[in-house]
Formats: sequence, C-alpha cells, structure tokens
Amino acid sequence: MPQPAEATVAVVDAYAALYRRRLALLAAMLVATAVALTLDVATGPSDLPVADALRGLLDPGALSPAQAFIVRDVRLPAALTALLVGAALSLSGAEMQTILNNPLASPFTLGVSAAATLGAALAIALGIAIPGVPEAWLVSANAFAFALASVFLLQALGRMRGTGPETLVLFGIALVFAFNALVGLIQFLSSQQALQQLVFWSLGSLGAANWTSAGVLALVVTLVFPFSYAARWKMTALTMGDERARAFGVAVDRLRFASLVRISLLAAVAVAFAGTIGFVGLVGPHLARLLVGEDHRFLLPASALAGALVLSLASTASKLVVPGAVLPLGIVTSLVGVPAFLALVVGRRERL
Amino acid sequence: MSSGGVSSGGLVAERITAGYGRRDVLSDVSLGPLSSGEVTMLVGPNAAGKSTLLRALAGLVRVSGSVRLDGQELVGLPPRRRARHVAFMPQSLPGSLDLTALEAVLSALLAVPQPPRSESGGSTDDGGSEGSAGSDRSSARREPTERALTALARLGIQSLAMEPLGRLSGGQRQLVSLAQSIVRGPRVLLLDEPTSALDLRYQVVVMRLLRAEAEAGRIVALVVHDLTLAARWADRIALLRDGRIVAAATPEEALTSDRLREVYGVRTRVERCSRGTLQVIVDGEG
Repeated sequence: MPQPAEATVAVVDAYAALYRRRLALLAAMLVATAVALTLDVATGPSDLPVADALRGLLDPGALSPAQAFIVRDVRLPAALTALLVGAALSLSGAEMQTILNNPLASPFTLGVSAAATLGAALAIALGIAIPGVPEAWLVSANAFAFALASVFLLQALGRMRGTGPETLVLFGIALVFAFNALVGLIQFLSSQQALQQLVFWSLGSLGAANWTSAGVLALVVTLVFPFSYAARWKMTALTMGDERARAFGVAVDRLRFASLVRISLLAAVAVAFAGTIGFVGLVGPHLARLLVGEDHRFLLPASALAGALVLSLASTASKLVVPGAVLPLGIVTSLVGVPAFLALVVGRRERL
Repeated sequence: MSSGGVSSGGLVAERITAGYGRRDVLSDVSLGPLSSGEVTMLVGPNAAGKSTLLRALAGLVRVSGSVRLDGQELVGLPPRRRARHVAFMPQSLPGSLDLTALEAVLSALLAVPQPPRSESGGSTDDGGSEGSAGSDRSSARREPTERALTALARLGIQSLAMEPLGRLSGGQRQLVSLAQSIVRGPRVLLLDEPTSALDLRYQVVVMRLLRAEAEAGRIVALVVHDLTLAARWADRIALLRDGRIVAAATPEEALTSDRLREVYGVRTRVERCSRGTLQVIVDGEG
C-alpha cells in the first residue's frame, strides 16, 4: 500500500523538521546566553570602558594589572555565578513544575528559599552556624544546609501520607509559613545592623561572588544535569499524570524523590551564593516551555539556558539602571523578567 | 506468539481486596482466567468497582490477594517489570499540554524502555557489522518513532501525529491514549472506558482493533457503560455491583433482564435483532 507509507514518510519528515527547529532554538539560546555573559562582563561600576573590558577578555595583557584584576577576578566570576545561578534555579523550577504538576511551582514554593533565609538569618543575626566552617562561608553554608534539610523534612512528611503532588504542595506551604515566622522572630530580636544585612541578603546579590562560588555552582550544575536529563522521558510521562506514568512502568514515588533531591541541590547552592532570586525559577521554565514545548528532551536544557540568559541580562541591567550603583539582583530579575515573560505569553496567544 | 507459548494460564485474580487509602472498594473478589484471544468487558452501575478492579489487575491500587499472569504473580512486582506484561489506559489524558500526539506515544515507549522481545526484535537485528555503528544509532532513534506512528495509524489518527494534545478533541485524545497503550505490544491490555468520548465510527474502529489485539494472542479487558456495545463485542462480561462480581459469563448468559433490573434498577429487554446480534433495550426505571 503506497498511500499509508507516503503519509508515514511525510509525518517522519515533519517530526524531523520539528526536532531540528528545537535544536536550532537551543543553539540560539546558547549563543544569546554567551552574548549576555559578555555584556555582563563588559559592564560595571568601575570606569573601565566597555571596549577595553572586551579586549581584556581576549587578551588580558592589554589591560593594566588593576583593570585585568577587575575583569578576571571580579566581573568574570560574578557574571559566571549569575549565569549558573540562573541555570540552576530555572532547571530546578522546571523539575518542580513537572513533579508537582503545577505551573506555579518554583524551587521556592516548597520553602527551599524560606529555609535558606532562615539559615542565613541564624548566621547573620545570631551567629549560629555549622561548626568548623570558615568565617567567610558561614552564611552560604547555613543557607545551603537549611535548604537541603527542608527538602528532606518535606520528604519525610510526604512519606507519612503518600507523596502525591497536592500533599507535597500543602506541606511545602506550611513549611514556608513556619520558616518565615522564625525569620520574622529573628529579625524582631536582631540588631539594626544585622537586620540591614539580612534584608540585603534576602534581596539577592552577587556581591560575594568569586571563583569559588562560580566553581561550586558549575560543579553542582554539571553533576546534576545528566541525572535530570536521563529522566527526561519519565518526566514527560509524568506530565500526563501519575497514574499514566505508573502504567508506563515508571516508579513515580522514586522519580519524585530523586527529582526533589536534584531540586534541593540546585536551589540550595544557588540560594547559598546569591540569596533569594525567586522569579527566575518560575519564569525560566515557562519561557522554555513557550519556546520548545513540554517534551523534556528539550524542555530541561532549554530551561537551564533560559534561566542563565535571564539572570545574565538581569545582572547586566542591575549595573546599568542606576549609573555607578549595583541594584540587588533579585529585584532587577523580576523587573527584567516580567516584561519579557508577558511579551512572550501575549505573542504566544496571538500565534495560537 | 508469546515467548512461553502457554496460553492455558491467562490472567487470574484470586480473592483480591483492593481500594484507596484505608477504604476497600473491592473485597474478596475473584475473576478469571481471562484468556488470550478473549475480550472481557467489565460493566455495572457507577461506583460498582469496575475501574478499581481494572486498576487492581494493573497493580495500580493497593491490592492484596493474588493476580497471576500465566502463573506468574503480578502483585508486588516492581512497576518496570509489571509494565512489560500489562498496559493500562486511564480515563483521561490532560488536554492542556504542549506535547504532540507523537511525543505522547513516544513517551509511553521510552519512559521505561523495555528489553526487546524475541517476537518483534529478531527480524530487525541482522547481525550488523562494526562499520554500521552510525546507521545503527540513527535507526535506533527512528525505530521508536516508527512504532509510535504505526500505533497511531492503527487507530486512524496518524495525520494527527504532529498536533499538540491541547488542540485535539476529547475523543481524539482518547485515541492517542489508546495508542499509548497498544504501542508497547504488551500481553495484557486493560482499558478504562476507552470509548466514552468516541463517535460511532471510532467506537467501531476501536472495537475492531481490540478484537485484532485479542486474536493476536493478547488478553483484553475493558470497562464500558454502553451495554449494547458490550453485548455486541464482548466475549465475556463481568457484571459488578457494590464491589462484587454478580455474573461473569458470555453476554447472553450475563445480561438477562432480571439481572439488569436487580443491578441497575431499570426495566430492559435483551433481544437478538434480526441479524443475530444481542441488544439491550432500556424501557425505563424500576
């Protein structure tokens, strides 16, 4: 029968074309992210001309030692940290939205950021920290430990009553309120100076970024992403409901637990180094979904890239909005991300 | 034919108790054996436990007792191994997803890749040489796509392969869902109301397909509400009420006027029409 065969060939071709178009979109996002990273390095409060900064990236010898230091040891690690924080939060947001079957979910829905803030608050205001951690790392280490612990607490609560998405969301929201209340209590008790420091930390900042933070972030993202990607078809199946995924042979509870571990690692390390930059974990996956759809083969890498791009642009903008000053990254991320997001949603509506 | 070649066993549920949380929907129910080549339809009033029985057979609810396939116990089997033998089709496929019909079927195939079975895997592997590694890889990617397209084509919806689920009607999504169930070619097909959103033509398409699946040696069981459909297409009927099986027999034996009044509380006539097919005509309540 020639007819059905021809129809099959046509569909296979159409599918191949869609596949290539999505790969091209990923490549375009990669290029855009690289450009944004370059811009991020080229801008800053010190009066180093953009052209010089760019030249310095290619040829460090062309700059004075002080300028070379600014580019190599201040701006580059900060820009890479921004990019990696964006990738980590957005990838964890994509996983969170899938395992909770909830488009409003982000790493912060379930109290990961609230827990990190509590950890940071304990270190900043009360000096309570993990013993043996060097002074410079106290806040980050505390934030990380608390974020991670909150996810395991969530898992333990979920285990008591079956880890369905609704149950997890409810427990998570309860944890958010509990942690926020404790942070409020600490703020109430802490000194003026500690309070100011705490508020600044919670606004999200790259002020403490250096090669170590960039390195740790790169390590975590590089270690976690392959596991995330390996679960791509299981995650795609899960978007169609727990029961269907189970019928396909997916051990849904185990998938959800493994995903939560990945989410907590990514979100905790991001929050530890850059404070609470919540919006990117919500908007990154949505941008990615609008561009490449729900197929997690594309959605997961696209989410990471979208987050990296958004945070790179936000980091650049945070240095340009008020000349000579660097605004908190969390604020700028929302201000930059919201219009971009709305534009895409509206554009999408018109296309359909 | 299936690898064992033994069709005597079939699917047997023995004294199973099943339910959700602490609530038992079924208690001490036995059914079967459901044999290769047979289409069994579970019918009964709402909340009789039809879907729960199907889920219990699929291992998707808390179940105690024994569900055996050709003598092998399925209760307690890990999901991956169970899915190798049993496909289950839930009632609804979410409609808001930006996922094409093809991707939806591919995910059924690839979420938990199953080892190739002798019946289908043998012909494609013709001992390729080392030099053909590249073409092996591309064919490894093409092969699932072709299987998914074949499944869609068997349901007459290959032309919808590239449509996002969000743009399909409820009935079209139901067909995609069915394609997800048949694509892996499991021994047992369990389907929860596979025809509830389908027009008359596609009801026939689906019933023919299920017959063909049964004739290919599979065990097919489904929940339906439409008794005329059941009378026309089922080999066996299991009539449920209040978590119990009231009758399990051929349509003619299971669907009697008296029994339907007792179970559904309606007056019916069960007659053979002029062409010999069994029909259930509902006259009213009481």
